[in-house]
Amino acid sequence: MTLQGIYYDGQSARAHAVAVELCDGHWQLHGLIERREPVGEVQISERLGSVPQRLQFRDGAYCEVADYAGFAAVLSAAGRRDRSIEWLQNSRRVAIAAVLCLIVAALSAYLWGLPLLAKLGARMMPQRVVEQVSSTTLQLLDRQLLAPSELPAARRGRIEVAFARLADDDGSRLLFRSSAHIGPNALTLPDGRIVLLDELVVLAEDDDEVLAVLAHELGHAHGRHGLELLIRGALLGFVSAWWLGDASALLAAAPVVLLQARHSRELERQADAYAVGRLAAVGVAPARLADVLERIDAVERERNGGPSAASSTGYLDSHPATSERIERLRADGSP
Amino acid sequence: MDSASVAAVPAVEHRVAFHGSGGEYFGIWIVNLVLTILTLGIYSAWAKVRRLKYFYGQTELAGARFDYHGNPRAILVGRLIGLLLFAAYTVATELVSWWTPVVLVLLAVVLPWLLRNAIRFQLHNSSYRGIRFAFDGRRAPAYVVFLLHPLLMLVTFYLTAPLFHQRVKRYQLGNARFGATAVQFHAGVGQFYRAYVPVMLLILGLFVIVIGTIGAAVSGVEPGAEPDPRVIGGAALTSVLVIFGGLLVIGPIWLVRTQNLIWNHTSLGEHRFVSTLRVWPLLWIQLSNLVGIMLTFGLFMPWAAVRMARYRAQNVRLIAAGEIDAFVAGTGAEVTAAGEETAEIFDFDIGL
Repeated sequence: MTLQGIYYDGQSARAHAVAVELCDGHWQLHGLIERREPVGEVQISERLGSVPQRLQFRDGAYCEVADYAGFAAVLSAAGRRDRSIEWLQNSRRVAIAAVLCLIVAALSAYLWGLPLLAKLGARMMPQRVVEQVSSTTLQLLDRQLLAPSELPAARRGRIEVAFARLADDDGSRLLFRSSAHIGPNALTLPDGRIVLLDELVVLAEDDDEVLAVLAHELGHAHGRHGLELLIRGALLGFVSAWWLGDASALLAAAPVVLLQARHSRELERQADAYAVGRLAAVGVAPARLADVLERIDAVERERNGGPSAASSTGYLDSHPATSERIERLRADGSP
Repeated sequence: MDSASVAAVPAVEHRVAFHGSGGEYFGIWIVNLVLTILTLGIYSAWAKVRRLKYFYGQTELAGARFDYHGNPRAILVGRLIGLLLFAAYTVATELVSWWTPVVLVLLAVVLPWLLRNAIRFQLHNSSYRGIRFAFDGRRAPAYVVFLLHPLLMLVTFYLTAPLFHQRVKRYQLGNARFGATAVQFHAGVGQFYRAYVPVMLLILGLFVIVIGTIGAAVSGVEPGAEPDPRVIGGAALTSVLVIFGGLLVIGPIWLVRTQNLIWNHTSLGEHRFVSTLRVWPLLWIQLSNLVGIMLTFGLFMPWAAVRMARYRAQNVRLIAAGEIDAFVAGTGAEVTAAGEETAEIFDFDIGL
């Protein structure tokens, strides 16, 4: 079988129309150029879709064969099989199987791989880095959102003593601040330092309710949740930017926000479970956490002007389904 | 070579054509993707070579296809160097310390050199009709183009962006060769500024809208009162959407105006180029690509890439003043890939 080819000598751009033939273990070119080379001396370019394949000679010359189907027929008649990469790239079945595998892989990476990696990473992060990140965060918060605490020293002292008992001397530290912007809340830094806001102390009925919230925050500190969230965010951001960054940077940012929400809900649940255990140890009913959560929720709603759409769907909120948490805590408290 | 004799031949117009299809490229793309994941990214260098071989090989000009010859091993080494530099940059800027300036100065010294190598690697590994492209740009001007001009842009609030763009193209194209034939680039700074006028005005307009939106939201707050988070949040969201939508439109306008300018002022020996990109078709391709990618969680990407390549190829023509056959090869030396890959990881697009 003879094929039409175009020969380039590698020295000039001149195109030479030739007839190409494979016989007696030699590639033969006839026409404006006459050339005969043993098969072993000629490299065949990889099959990539319908890109014309090339016979590449050692001296830099090559012959392009536009009829890729005819070329494939000649090759298979000569007993040459596709290389495995060529078969993979040109098979429809492989493509479909690859898509299915990718979907399964992406789902399992998100559901199992990501939490596992984040947990491992949080545990292995050097303490010095953790402290530096926490201090930077605290400095930023102090400058923009937080003000010094205005609680009476006696009240602070009482809370500190109770906190030490609650934390069981595990090295956790408590900081006092106030913030009109954030409202009644407590924050945990990645290194385990807990920032208690005056607004929460004022809102709480007594020190037990403050302790209940602190027990919840200790759960975050103990599980290194702050670090875990940081690592999860970074991993998600990396994968998302790699996957969609070419198309659009903003498009790549959206999944990170959406996918993070589910994990933070999970972490809230873990912190609650930890709090229940610690509170029982110091003799505070877990229901007290439910009580104070309810009050915080009410204040939040008022600040946001009525029940927010997010908390009613319980999906996009990062402190979500508070009512669900409250119910669980009350169930725990009354066995 | 004997240009006097070919000058007499009447000009012939050759259209660039792209023969690839999305379905065909999907097979290559998905295999690239899966192997890249399975090898934890190592295969990405081979994937890049296959992708470029496909896109070059499906691009036809005057009856012949282009080809890409990059060595995947060289690309892999380049990627590793790039990753290392990127890590150094990230650590140095995240954990600020005494050695932060040291790292930044080191990067400033290394990056222009790498960018020059990137241009060289890309051109040297591209061929047409068996003849390689090449790049003769020297090191010193690379520092002016890739270090001084970006710094100048920073202190002039990007008002010198057109100047920077012109200098990059002058350096990149003005020092390029096809075999023994030099590429000439003759678009001046004034022409770049003219091409940028609508783009800069639109960006200014975006700024005005965003500042107006946020300003209106903030000024609605009574002095001393707490701002309503819903109003502020609404304004912020509006601003993000305005910027996103604005950039979607400004992107194609910028691409059309600069690409047309660049190609229309580039010539290769006696031959010159004509570029006829238009805003509306390009905008349509980009928007529909974006929708397709969103709806398919990214699986539409091969089709998107092919559609874009086809439109861009179709709109470049070569006005040949004589026989294309007359080009001859020049001398070629091996070049390293470190530059090209580092440029990619630091997100510089210096596409031809």
